[in-house]
Amino acid sequence: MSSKKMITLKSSDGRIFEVEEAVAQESQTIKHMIEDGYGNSVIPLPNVTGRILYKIIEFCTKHVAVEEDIKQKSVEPTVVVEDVKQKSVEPTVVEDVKQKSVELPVDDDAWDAEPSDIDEWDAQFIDVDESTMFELIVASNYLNIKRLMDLSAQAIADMMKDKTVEEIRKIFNIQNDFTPEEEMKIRNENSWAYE
Amino acid sequence: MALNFSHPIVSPVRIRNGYFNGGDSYGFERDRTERSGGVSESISKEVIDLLPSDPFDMNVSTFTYITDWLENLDLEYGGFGRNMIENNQYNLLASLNLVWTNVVRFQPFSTDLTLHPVISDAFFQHGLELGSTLESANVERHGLELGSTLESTNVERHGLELGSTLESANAERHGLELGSALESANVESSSYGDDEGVPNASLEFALRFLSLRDLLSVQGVCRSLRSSVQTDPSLWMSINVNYPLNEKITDDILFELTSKAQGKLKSLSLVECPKITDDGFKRVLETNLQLAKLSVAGCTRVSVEGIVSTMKKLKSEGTLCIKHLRVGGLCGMKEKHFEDLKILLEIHNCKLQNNHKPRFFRGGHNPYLLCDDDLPIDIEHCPKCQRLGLVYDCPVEDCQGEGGNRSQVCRGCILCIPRCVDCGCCINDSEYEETFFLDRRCLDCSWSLFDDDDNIAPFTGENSSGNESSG
Repeated sequence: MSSKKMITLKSSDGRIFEVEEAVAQESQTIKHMIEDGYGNSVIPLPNVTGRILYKIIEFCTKHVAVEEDIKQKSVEPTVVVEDVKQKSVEPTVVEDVKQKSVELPVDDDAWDAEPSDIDEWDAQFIDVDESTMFELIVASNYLNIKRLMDLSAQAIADMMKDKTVEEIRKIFNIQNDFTPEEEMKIRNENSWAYE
Repeated sequence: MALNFSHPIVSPVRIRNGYFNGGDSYGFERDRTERSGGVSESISKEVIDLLPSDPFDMNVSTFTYITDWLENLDLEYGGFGRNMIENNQYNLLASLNLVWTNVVRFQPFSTDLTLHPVISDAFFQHGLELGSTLESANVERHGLELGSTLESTNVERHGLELGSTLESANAERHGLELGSALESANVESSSYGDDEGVPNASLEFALRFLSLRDLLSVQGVCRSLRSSVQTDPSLWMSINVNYPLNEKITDDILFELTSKAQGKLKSLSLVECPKITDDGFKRVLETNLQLAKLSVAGCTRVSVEGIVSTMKKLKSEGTLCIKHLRVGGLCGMKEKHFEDLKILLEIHNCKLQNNHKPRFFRGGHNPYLLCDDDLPIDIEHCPKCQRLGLVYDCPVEDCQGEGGNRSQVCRGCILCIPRCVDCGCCINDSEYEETFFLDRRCLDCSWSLFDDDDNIAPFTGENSSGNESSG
């Protein structure tokens, strides 16, 4: 395999990640930076923590691998599916010596699992706790990774699906900042939907 | 966290029923009967006697207890002394012992109130976290007029300026703003484990994936979400009204909803909305001139004539943008209307014949599920009877033609080719089951209802195959 260009990313907490260029370019933000000539230096991502960046790289790596596999299959139908696993390279984490080593909550099973299709993999990927989901959506918005943004936004929307106002407040821990009068008014406005 | 021995640590502060009784180092040994908590003397003495007096040379007693108003603390600790304690109150005392002598983290409570009274560096070096049921019941019962009484020299020396703000704690059940000293001491009364009650910006990203009903719910959650929902026209560019809102929506409500798009409405789907009339529909069309996709399938009060005349009017004004129309289920579709619609939608005959996604009959309960294909119009002439209406393909393999050339044998309207209400397969002369609602169900689907032992569906005619049901 020809050597692929590696891009170096640095998270907000100083963790360094080396990824293949194709994987990095899943993010339009990083892609533009590469096009502007910053591909040879460390690209800082001050809005993304190491933990979340790790997950994002995992996502992008998987999707790039699946796309490559599809391309190869269309040319050579005999390509074995196992190649996908080989291509799903674990992101190389280069520890910054000065930084204290932080243990990331790595789910090793994520690499071993081979669901039948990418949607199932995505569903497993996004099956995380609330705060991780929120961080993922904000980070994927910053990095401009449409697929991940849609996936995480859909997951959050699913949490809100068919819930009442009170239930939504409870799930997301949102304070009710309406005055009682305002709340009455809103309830009347929407009363038609709940009769 | 290491204990800091560099500063003279306080002598124990004993707070009893609102009266400060400080200064003595072992106040808890004395005057126990004075306390109104009804504490058992003997037990406390045993515990206290067992405890080392000043194990860390801190010049303090082993513990300082804040008695009554913490008596209901439910604390988890290392198990020290628990077996010896019979009274719940002394769980607290023993726990507090442990706090001072060890670093113990208390379990926060159901009230979601976590205090971090690192009141002063000298006092709580280890960040004593008193998760407390400082509920009003405890607070009020014991007066908790720690206020001014605590502003004694002892208190100030200790930094324990609980201050008069604790009086306000009487009024606030969970707010419990413990005043400036404690504010500087990292008192957190925030809700547990999350933001400070302000909706995360990430929720706003998710809004565009919400159904109409959920959008309406979210509007009522808080101010910022309401503002986002109401002022963002992109959320309202595609409106789908189906069950359960379809039965409730009226012309006025429809107009109000479509107005939120600020004239940029692109797609409107009204599925089986019995309250929508020609006038309401016309008003929407005339105010949303960028509308490209429209479905009024199953809206019985909307007439074909009304649709055609409105579209003609817009066309004559040069403002008609509709390219996809769904009118299945509307009565009174005549040939003349169909021809007019074909002209209005700029359909050429060849387009209707093109290969497109097969349409299968999906139950009598939701036959108008918006088709995602790009057909300009959903109705066509039935190959068998030539009537205008919805024409279905057959999912059965034998009925399908060769690839690229769909067989015309098993294509027809529901009147010509009866179909199973669940799977859409053709039921001509084969056996079938008639449901309560006079739909037909093929035997395979009937038997599959009984396969699941846990969930035997009754013969109600309800769609039990997991399709979207109108209930």
